[in-house]
Amino acid sequence: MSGQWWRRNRWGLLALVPALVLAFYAPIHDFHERYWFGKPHQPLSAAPGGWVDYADARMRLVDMRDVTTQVTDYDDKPFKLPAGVRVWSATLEFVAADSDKIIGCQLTMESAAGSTFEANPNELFGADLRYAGCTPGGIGTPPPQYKTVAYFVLPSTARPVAVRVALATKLPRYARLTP
Amino acid sequence: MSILIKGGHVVPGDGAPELPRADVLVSGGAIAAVGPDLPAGGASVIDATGLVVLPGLVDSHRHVWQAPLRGVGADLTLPDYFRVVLGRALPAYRPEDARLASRLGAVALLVLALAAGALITRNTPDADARQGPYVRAGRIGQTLDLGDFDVRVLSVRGAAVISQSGATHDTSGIWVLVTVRLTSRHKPIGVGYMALRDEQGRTYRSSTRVDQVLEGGWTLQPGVPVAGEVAFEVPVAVATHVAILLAKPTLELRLAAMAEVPLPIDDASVRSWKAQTTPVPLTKPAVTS
Repeated sequence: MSGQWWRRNRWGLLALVPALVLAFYAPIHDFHERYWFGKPHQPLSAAPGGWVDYADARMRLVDMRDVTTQVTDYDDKPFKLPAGVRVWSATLEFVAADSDKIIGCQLTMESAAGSTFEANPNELFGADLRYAGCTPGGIGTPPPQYKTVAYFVLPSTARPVAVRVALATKLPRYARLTP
Repeated sequence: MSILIKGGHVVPGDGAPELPRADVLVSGGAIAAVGPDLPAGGASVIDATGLVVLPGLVDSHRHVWQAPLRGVGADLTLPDYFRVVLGRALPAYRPEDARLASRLGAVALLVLALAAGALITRNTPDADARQGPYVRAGRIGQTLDLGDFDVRVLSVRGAAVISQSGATHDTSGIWVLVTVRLTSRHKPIGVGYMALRDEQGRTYRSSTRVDQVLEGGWTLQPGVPVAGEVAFEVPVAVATHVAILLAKPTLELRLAAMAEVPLPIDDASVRSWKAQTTPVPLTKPAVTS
């Protein structure tokens, strides 16, 4: 292309720069929002059993254990679990001046293989277990420090290594708690 | 305002002989006179010596006026074309003939464009097809990999009446009950789309008359397979030619992985299901091996 071509089209070429920026901004922004800010990507962690500051609260994993044989139904009889799965509990401790700020958190258990498992699974329907979250529940002013217990179902072959706490408004950051 | 174009080689353009050296007087936006040695008067003079003076070539070359001649002399050579079309047909055209022929040609062009557009859109994949789901086709008993989860269609049966939680549900069509086995791979997911598709491409979503927890209401934990029955209510006439479709998204199926498994249902089975009035209990989802 000759120098004349560049001179003749200089204004169009200059205008092309912001036009391209605008054209690509929307899809890139949308992709960023959906695939980066929409999912937990950035773990906040501490030493095993240590406190993690997340979503205006402090939290830690007190205990994580296999409770398969301890789960009962509402008649206090052993809860029938399908073969090949185990029930794991995770005891979490929170320090929150305002526990309303962590309402609606998502709790997942992470296995050594990197798979994640949701709390309160369908497989435990009928078991006498409290629906777990990040808030103490109950009536009246919640205490500033409290514990909750979450239950998970994992294949017998899976070994849990951490519990993740994620809040939609704080993504992509999440708390990764290890016992 | 008048202009005198002086001393040019004038081509009148209306069939009159060319004037090798003449003047053209333009007055009030119209040609007032053409001829040699016109008086300038108060007109401004343009010296056209050595130049050709001819009327403005507006719409100087087109063929739409030939539309009524379409098909006439299709095998003419180029010299024949000059002789027959331009030499004989063109002089016979009056201005009003050319106007009418051009309009007819424009209408024909429009119809042709619409026909071509229709032909293209009907015979090329549309956006839905281009961005449609990625189909993993299989058969009953075969495990299909859908990326986030695996699907295996275990069996199919049917009924005229089904029951769930003590309530019975009849139908003017037929209930098709498909047992599927679903296994998440790495993270908790739900299967949001289950449907039957018939030969005509019509889809029948799983029935909302019964509680269908397996579609959208059950979170699959990785490595924990769940099997359960899904109920579809379809017309009797299509039951023998349906395939089950399963996908993770509920609505946005574009570019999603989708399992498609034809269901081997024959006429005799449908007749026997239809004749059976005893309610068939719907099997609940449960963890399986």
